[in-house]
Amino acid sequence: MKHELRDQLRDADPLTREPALTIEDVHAMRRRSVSAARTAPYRRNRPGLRAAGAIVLACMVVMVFTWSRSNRGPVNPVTAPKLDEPRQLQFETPGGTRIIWVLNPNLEL
Amino acid sequence: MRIIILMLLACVLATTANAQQPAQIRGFSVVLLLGEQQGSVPAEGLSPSALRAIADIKEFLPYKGYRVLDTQWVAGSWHSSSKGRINNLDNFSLDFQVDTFTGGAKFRLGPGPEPLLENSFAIKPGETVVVGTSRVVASRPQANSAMIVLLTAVAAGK
Repeated sequence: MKHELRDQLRDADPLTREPALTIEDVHAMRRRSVSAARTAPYRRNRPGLRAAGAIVLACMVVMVFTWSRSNRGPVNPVTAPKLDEPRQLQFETPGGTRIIWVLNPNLEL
Repeated sequence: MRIIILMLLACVLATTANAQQPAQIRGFSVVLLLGEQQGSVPAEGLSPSALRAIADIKEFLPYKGYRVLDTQWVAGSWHSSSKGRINNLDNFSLDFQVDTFTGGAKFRLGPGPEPLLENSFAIKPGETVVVGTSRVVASRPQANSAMIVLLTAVAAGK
């Protein structure tokens, strides 16, 4: 089945029936490619551009490092609270107000 | 080349801004509220920031009324300690203390080694953070009232 399909595709390919390029055509194509490559504007190597790029990269690295340091807080181990211990919850309302709530079983108001 | 110079300037400015200290504060406004199962929600007599915080928490917390027990103001800045006294129920007063660190504060309400509240949190100038406490009664969760503090860091120059 696979072979039949492959044969059918090959038979239906119009390129197999077209004549190949002549040597003259191949040479003409090559000449045009070479001349196009020679006449293309040469992009000079600009050391100033490279230095500026390096400075931008360095700045970005410093920014990321500073940002990560400023957002790093102390990490406390997570332990399960005892039943009679106060528990603290922190959440934020849809309006953006942050609420810190202490559930204290021993609270006397 | 101009674009790269602009990018460079933006990077330098962003790095400098990030490394700077946060905006200064000049003190804290402290509002002591009692959350109850009946009563009303204060609509005036408080700062806009505090009123906005109450409007936010009334949608969130299981209390129908918020009684203003007292309001206080203490001067303060980053890396300082401010103390004050605020009236609780029946004119019984409670001591409070706000110790600040860069970009945050530790708030303590109540006397002795076991205060009613003792919490540390980040706070920005102009922001109101709600700190509250309540009992937990699993069988009757509606029977509780709650002590609520609205702590607003007042920005310098406001």
